[in-house]
Amino acid sequence: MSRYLLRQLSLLLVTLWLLTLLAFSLGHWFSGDFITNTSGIFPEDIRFAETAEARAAEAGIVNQYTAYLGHLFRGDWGLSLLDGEPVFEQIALRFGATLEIALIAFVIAIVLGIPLGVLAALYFRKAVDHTILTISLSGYSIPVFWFAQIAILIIAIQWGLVPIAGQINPLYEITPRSGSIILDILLEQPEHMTEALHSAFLHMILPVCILAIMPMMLIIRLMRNSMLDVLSQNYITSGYAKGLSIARVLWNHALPNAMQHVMRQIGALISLLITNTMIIEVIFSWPGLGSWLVRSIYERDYPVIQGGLLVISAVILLITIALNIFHAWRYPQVRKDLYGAN
Amino acid sequence: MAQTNLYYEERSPAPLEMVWLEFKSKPLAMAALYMLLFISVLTLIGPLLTPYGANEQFIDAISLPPAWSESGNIRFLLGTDELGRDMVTRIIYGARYSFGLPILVVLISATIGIALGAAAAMTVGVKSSTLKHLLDVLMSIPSLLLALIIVAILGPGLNNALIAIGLVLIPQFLHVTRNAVHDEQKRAYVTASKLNGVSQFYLLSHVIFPNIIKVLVVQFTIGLSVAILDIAALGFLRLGAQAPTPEWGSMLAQSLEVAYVSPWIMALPGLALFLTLVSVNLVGETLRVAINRQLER
Amino acid sequence: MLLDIRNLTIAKDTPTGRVNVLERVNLQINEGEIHTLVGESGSGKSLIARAIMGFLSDSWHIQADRLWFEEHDLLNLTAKQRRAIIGVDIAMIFQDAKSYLDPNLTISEQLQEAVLDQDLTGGFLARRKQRKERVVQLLHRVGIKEHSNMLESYPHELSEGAAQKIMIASAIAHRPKLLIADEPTSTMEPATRQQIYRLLAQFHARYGMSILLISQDLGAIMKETERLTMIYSGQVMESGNTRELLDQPHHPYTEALLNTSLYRQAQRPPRSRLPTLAGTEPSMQHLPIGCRLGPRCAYARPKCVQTPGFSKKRDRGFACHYPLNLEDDA
Repeated sequence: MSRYLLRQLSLLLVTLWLLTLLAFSLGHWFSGDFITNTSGIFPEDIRFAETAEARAAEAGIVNQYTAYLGHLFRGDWGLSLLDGEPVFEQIALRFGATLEIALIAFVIAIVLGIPLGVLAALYFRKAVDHTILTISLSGYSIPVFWFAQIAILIIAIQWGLVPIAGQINPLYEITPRSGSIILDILLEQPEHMTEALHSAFLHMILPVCILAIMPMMLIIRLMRNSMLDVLSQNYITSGYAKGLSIARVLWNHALPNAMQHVMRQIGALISLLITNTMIIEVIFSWPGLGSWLVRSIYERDYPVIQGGLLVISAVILLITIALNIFHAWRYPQVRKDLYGAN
Repeated sequence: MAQTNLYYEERSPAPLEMVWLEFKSKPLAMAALYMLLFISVLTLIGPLLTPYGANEQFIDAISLPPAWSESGNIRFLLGTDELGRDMVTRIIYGARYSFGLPILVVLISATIGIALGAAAAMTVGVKSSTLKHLLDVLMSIPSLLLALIIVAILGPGLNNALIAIGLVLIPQFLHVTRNAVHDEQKRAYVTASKLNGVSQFYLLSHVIFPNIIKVLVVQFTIGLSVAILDIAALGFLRLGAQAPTPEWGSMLAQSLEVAYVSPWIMALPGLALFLTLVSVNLVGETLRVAINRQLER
Repeated sequence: MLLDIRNLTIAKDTPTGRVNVLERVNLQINEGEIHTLVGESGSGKSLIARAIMGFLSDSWHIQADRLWFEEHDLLNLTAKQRRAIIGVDIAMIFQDAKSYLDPNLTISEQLQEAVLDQDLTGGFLARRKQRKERVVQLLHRVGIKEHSNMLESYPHELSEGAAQKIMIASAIAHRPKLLIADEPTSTMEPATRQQIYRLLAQFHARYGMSILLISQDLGAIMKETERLTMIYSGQVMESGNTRELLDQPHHPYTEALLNTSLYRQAQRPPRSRLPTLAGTEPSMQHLPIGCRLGPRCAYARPKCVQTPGFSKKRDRGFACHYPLNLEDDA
């Protein structure tokens, strides 16, 4: 296990290093001056000469990269070209906002998706199965940006049940600290806390639900297929041969093994979730990383693009590696395959 | 009582036939297949069918609702948009951008990716499992994010969006091909062919390739679904196809301001996109199930 | 009579109509008897075992005049009643034992499942402790001395023989009256096979447990087998006392199987033609009418298109219109 752990951690380091290399190269590939692209300081600025010195503008590409890494680790990720805000602090704030909706959506998707998938598998080729499968296949194909617009049109505008966009009614002056609005309200302890929480909840409900739908559909299908596969395995039969009840066979043998296959695919799920989070944030003006990154792309705000790419990708890589490690730790026979492959 | 059919021959359907049988046994999959055919026809000869040009404006018919509603006009079956352009015409033209172009892009990426993947698998040096794991991890970065970055370098625009999607899809095909070829190489029948003394190229093209084509076809449908969705998403984020182009994603983005007054302008391109995606996904899923069933036999 | 099966017919619906995969099978097992069921793969012998255990899904149609285990009618049991018998009085071990062990649980966890709560006393912790002790006892009984190592192992770390021993340990946890062994050794080396058979014979001798052994090879059965039943393509061909049946087979199928044995072949004169069964086993979609061996049988005559009845002669039974080796008795 420790050998596997070491391998995965070194894999993480290598991929992260590749990522910094990519982000660094972006500074050169973008049009405009390299120093401005990475630091966000315009050549007209008085600090420019000093910054160029610090970022080794004249000293060859290797030195530039070392200087870039140095700035990266010190948390000096440059300033936004648009508003001059430090990128790193902005990221820290927006990360919380993104994590908040993505995490809640993920939990909803798992909590609803897994039982539905199991249900479909248990009623294989019956009406329940067909219904669940049809819904999940078509639900998986709805373009999320269209679905979100329709939901806004009907639920927010036509019925007026929830607000159209934003995190909270601006009347409640909540200073962003963590980025996560619920956490911020709890930290701030404003006068009308319940009302503020209520407002935040109303703002959140629509984006989170829409965000949860596609991963949920994916989980349903993954879980159903994997459960069907497991139910036909011999160790399920031997469970019955021991005289165990159906419930115990399902709970002790079928579910854990079916979850193993689902765990393998959960990376695809995260990737889907993050893609959709970016789009949903744009639509709902959610002050998260995704909307920020998209805006920075058409504003050509290069330091922000670099920082955003670095953070989102790094998070995905971290999750992937963590999943790999968890998988090997939880499912011992996987480790054997991994060793066998070496 | 005499036995008439003494010599009974067992006959199992050919692989392609089995896929067809699988489709025929599922009405939904059949519908998806016909839908896909219909969209393909629209993509090919659509402009010949439409009464108007894609950007032809009718000043007298601005924001007309579909023909069946009270204020609709039969000249514009699905109504017109806020600039007086016929929706039917724009949707049909849009099929070229939102379905035809993705197919082309995926075809090109698939060709490059499969060629590179096969080459990588056949070359001994690149067989190391470290590279496989590395690619596995890097593959977890979502395609839209990578496409966004490429668009950021190249600048917004339909051509750049297409290039970005194409570039993003290549590694996926490469990875799948490489793994598939690699897995097949361990099989006994490949060893048998090697013992027959076939050349490397023959081994790849006549022995291994027919056995991995199924995996590649399924990957193609996955890639197509991703390409359609991502190109539309880039269009929607105003980073892909730009304003007058009748691409479904950018049509959706333009419709946002008028969505409340004339909801059909928003609903129609999304519906077209949804139907296309459902069809592609359903066909892909059915193919996958049919192929898995063959493997089980 | 421990297990009494009379005229068991199991049918399955196929696109071309309903097919009797198993046709009017008779099988009786007495207390403390080792009974071996011999048949080629696909002859339906595992189906009998699965019908006894109640593993068959709704897509199989089961009919029988009698399918009784002691006083229980196995065809009409509620799920709860069945659980009181299956795993307690009837246990089963399988071919390819490794695949019957859950890959994600340790051996200890899987064996603990086989220990029923009703045999334990005390509170939660006390029961937990007893359960673990039982598991260690079980391992010792199947001849695994280094239990501490084994308990924490996962199935993928075991050899085929060890996995089968674990399955046996799990099966004998409640000293079942009947153990069904479905080709338990067909994927094993001959030496391992003898180990497993010796273990089964031990439990047979010690507990008086009946064993229904299912095998596809007449040459690889337990030497302690008291009775044999030959099954071909879903029909019982012949059954009877092992010794008598092997010495004087009444049914052409048994005769043909015996002819394939190395011993008989070695006794034939040099350069003589080896007698074999012609053709291949019929597919389920295309079963012959009457005696299903008919088209392949060297002794077949027109009458064989009528299904032969099951004739009894002392404790021998056979289903053939033209039995062999009967002259001596007559």
